Amino acid sequence: MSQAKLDFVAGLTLFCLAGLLLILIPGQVETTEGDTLTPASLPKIATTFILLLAAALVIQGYLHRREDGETGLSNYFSVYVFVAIGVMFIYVSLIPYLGYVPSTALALAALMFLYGNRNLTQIVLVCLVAPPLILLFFRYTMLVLLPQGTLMEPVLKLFAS
Amino acid sequence: MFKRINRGILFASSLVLAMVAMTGDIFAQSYPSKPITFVVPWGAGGRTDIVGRMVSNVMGSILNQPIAVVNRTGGRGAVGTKFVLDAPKDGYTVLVTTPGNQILGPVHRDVGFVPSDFRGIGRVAVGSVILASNTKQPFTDAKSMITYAKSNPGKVTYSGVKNVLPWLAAEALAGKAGLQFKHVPAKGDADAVPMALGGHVNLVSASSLNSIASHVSAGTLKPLIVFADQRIKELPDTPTASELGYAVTASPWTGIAVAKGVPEDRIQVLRDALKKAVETKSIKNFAKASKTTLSYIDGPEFEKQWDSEFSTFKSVVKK
Amino acid sequence: MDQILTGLELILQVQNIAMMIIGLIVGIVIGAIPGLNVPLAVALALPFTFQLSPLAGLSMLVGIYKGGTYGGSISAILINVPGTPAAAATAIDGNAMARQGKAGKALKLSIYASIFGELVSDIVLILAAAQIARFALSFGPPEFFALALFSLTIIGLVSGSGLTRGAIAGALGVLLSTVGLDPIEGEVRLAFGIYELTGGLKFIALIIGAFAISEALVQVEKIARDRLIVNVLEFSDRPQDNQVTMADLKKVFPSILRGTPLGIFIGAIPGIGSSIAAFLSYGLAKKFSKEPEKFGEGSIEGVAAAESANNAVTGSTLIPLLTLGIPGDVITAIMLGALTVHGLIPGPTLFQQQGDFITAFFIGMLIVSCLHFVIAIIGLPLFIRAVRVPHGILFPLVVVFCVTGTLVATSSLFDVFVMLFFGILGYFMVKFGFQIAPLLIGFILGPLVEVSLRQSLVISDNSWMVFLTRPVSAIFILLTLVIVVHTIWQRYKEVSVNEN
Repeated sequence: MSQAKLDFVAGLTLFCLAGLLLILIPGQVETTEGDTLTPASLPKIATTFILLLAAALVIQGYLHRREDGETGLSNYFSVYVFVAIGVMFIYVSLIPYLGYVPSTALALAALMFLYGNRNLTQIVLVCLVAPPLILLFFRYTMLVLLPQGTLMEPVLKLFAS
Repeated sequence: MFKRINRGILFASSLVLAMVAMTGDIFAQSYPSKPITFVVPWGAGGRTDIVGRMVSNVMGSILNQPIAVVNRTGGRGAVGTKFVLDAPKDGYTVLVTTPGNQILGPVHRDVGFVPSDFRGIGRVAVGSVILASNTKQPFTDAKSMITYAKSNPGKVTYSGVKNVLPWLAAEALAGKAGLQFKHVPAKGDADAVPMALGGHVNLVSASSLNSIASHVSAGTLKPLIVFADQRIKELPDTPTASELGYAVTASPWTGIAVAKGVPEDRIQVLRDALKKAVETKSIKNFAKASKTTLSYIDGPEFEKQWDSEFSTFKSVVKK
Repeated sequence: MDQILTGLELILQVQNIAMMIIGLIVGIVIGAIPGLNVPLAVALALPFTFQLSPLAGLSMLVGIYKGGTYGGSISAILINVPGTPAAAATAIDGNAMARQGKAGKALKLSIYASIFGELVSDIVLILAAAQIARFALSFGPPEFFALALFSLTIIGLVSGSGLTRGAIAGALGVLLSTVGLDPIEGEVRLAFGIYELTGGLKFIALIIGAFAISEALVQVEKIARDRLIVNVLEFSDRPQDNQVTMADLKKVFPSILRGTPLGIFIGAIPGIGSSIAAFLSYGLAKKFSKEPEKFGEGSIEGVAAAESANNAVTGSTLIPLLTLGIPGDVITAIMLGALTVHGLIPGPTLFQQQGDFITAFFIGMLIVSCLHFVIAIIGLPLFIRAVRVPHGILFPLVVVFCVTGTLVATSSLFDVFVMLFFGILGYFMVKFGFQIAPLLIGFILGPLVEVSLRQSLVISDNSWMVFLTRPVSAIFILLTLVIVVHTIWQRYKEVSVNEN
C-alpha cells in the first residue's frame, strides 16, 4: 500500500466511525442543562476533531493518489496475528471456567507455537512451571488470589476425596 | 541433558500437586474454609482502603483464614459494589462499604442495586464532613461567614466533589440558611483542599478531618462548621451545624456488608468476628494513630441506618 | 547539624537499608516486566508496610517507586515495551538504539540520566520543599488548564511529520478518556449500556494493551512473515556502542539539564505525572537539538531527555504529599495511606512535629538514589541476559504477564478484555502509521483539561478572560499558541519545499 492509499483507507474508516459516534453521543451521555459546558461537551469536541482530521487525511490521500511512494510500513497482514488475538481472547474467557493455571498453560502452549517455537521439551516445561509459579508467587508473597475455575471444582473434588 | 529435563518435570509436577493440595480444603464443611476476599470499591491508600485492610487483618486472624483485599474501582464505587452483589453468595466475597458507593450511588442514578440488596455485618468507623476556609477571608467564624454569605449572595465559592456527602451537606446548609453558595466541583479532597489553601475558593467542604487536620493545626485552614451530631474532640471549638440552628449532619461511615442471599449462619460468623475485631487492641491502636473515629454498630442497626439515609438523601436530591 | 546526626542515626539501621534494597530490586524487576508496573507493586507492598516501622515502610515504597520508574525503561529499550507509562517516551529512541546494536549504550545512558534527575530532584525536595509548595498552591484551575493545554502541544512535537495522524491519535486518547462517569457531575458517558464501562477505561489497561500487547502482535507478524524466529537483539561488538563516552555525555548534557528541572516542576504540580514530564522533555530536546531529524531514529539526546525528566518527578512529587498532604498520583496516594496508618498525617505540621522523621527520611531518599545507581549497574548484565531468552518463549510470557498484571491490578476480567481491546487498537494504529504516544498523552490530559476548564468557568462566571488575566495561565496560553503556530508553519514550509 502506498502512503496515499494508507491515508485514504485510514481516513475514511475514522471519518465514518467518528460520524457515527457524533450521532450516538447525545443518546449516550446523560446531559445536565444549564452550564456552558456539559458532560457531553468534551466527547463531542474530541469526536469532531477526529472527524475533521480524518477528512483531511482522506483529502491528502486523494490528492496524492498517483504517487506510489513506499510507506516504509509493511504491507504484510498475517493471518497469524488474528489467530494470536483469538488465542488471547479465548485464554481470558477460559480463566473463570478452567481457572488461572490450566488456562494459562494452554495459552502459553498455543502462543509459543505461534511465535515459532517448535521445541517440545521447552513448551512442556514452560507450560508446567510458569503458571503455578506465578500463582504461588502472588498467593504467598502478596495474598492475591488468582481465579480457580468453576469447572475445575468437580475435578479437584475427586483429588480431595 | 536428559537428567536435567527429568528434574524439571519432577519440579513442575510437584508444583501442580502442591496446588491441588492447596485448593483441596475448599470442600471442608465449616465456614470459612478458604481465604475470604474483601472488595474495596475505592482506590488503594484511601480512607476506606486503609480501614478495610486493618479490619481484614484482624478478622483474618480471628477467623483463622487469610483475607485478601482487592480494590475494584470505578463508577464512584458502583462497579465494586455491584461485583459483590453478582459474586457467588457463599460469604467469601465481602464488601467494604461507604455511603458514597452504597447509598448515594443508587440515589443519584440507576446503578443496578439499592442499599437493601445488602446485609450489614457492622459499621466500623465514622468521620465527619467539615466546612473550612483559609485564613484570608472577610469572615472568621461560622456566624460571620453566614452573615457575609447572606449579604453577598452567589459570591461565596466552595470546593468539593459533586453528588457526594460534602456537597450534600453544604447544599443542605445553604438551603436551610437561605444562602447562595457557588459550588466549584472537584475530583476529590486532594483537589478541593488545595483550591481553598491557594485562595482560589472561599470554602472547602472536606470529606474527612484527616484531609485538613494538618492545615488546621498549622493555622492555614480554619474549620468553620462540623456536620455531625456533636462537636468532635479534635476540633473542640468548632460548632456543629445544629448548634447554629441548621440541622444538617453528614457522617461518612465505613462498614462491612455482604450481598443478600448469603446463608444466615455465615453472616452470623462474620458479625461475631467483626464484633470481636473492633474490640482488639490492634484496631484501637490503629484508630488512634490514623485518627479514625471507631463507632461500631451491629449489622441490624447498620441496615436501619442505610434505610433512613437512603430516604433522607433521596428527598434532599429531589429538591 | 544535630538534626542531621539524629536523622542519620534513625535511618542508618539494618532494617531500613535492607528495605530500601528490597524495594529497589522489586521495583526494578516489576518495572521491567511488561504488564506489571509500579502502582501495582506499591499497592501490593502497602499491607506489608503496616508491619514495618514507618521509616522502613516508607523507604521501601520510595525504593519501589524510584526503581520502578527506572525499571520501565529497561524493557522499553530492550523489547520496545515500556514497563511503566513513564518510560513510553524512552521507548521511541531507546529501542531504535537497541535495534542498531547500541542497547548497552542506551541502558547505561538511561541509568546516568535517571540517577542525575533523581538526585537533583531529591536535593530540591530537601532544600526548597516549603517554597515550592507555596508555588504549587498558586496553581488554581485556570493555571492547571493552561498547563494541560500547553502539555497537549507535545503531541505535535512528538509526532513530527505525521502531524495529522498525531492529532487524530491524541483526540482519540481524549475521547477514550471520557468513557465512564464524568469527573464533575458523575453522569454516565459513552457506556453503551455496558455496566462495567460506567467505571471507565482503566489507564493501566491502556498502557499494557496499547504498548505491550500491540508489540507482541507486531512480533507475531514478523515471525510469520520472515518464517524464522527473529532471535533476540544483536549487540554490537564495538566498545563505543556499549559505553557512554565523554563525547556522548557532552552531547546529552543540555537535554538532561533541561529535563531535570522540567521533571521537578511537573512533579511538584499534583496530578500531571511522569509520563507527561518525559514527553515534554523529549519534545523540548528535539526542538533545541542540532540534529532533530535523528529523533525517533535512535537519538541519545532523546533517551537522556526522557529519562532525566521522568526520574526527576520521583523526588519532587513528594513535595505536595509531605508539605500539603496532597497526593499527586496513584503512587503517592498509596504512600499517604502508609503514612496515615502510622499516625503521620502529612501536611505543614509534619515538619514541625516530626522533624527528626523528615530529616531521616530525606537522608534516606539520597541513600536510595545512591543504592539505586549501584543496583542498576550490577543488574544491567542480568537484564541483558534476560532478553537473550528466545522470542519464542519471551513474548508468550509477556502476553501472560500482561493478562495477569491487569487481572491483579484491577481484579476484573472485564478490564483484561479492555486491555486486549487496546492491544488490537494499538496494533492497527501501528499498521496504519499512527504513533501510540499521542494516544497516551491525550488519555492522561483529557480529564485534566476538562475538569480544570469547567472549574475555571465556574469560578469566573463563564468568562473566558480568566485565562488571560492571570499571569501564569496567560504565559502558558501564549506559549501554547507560539508552539502551535510554529509547528504548523514549519509543516507548511516542509510541504511547500517538497512540492517545488
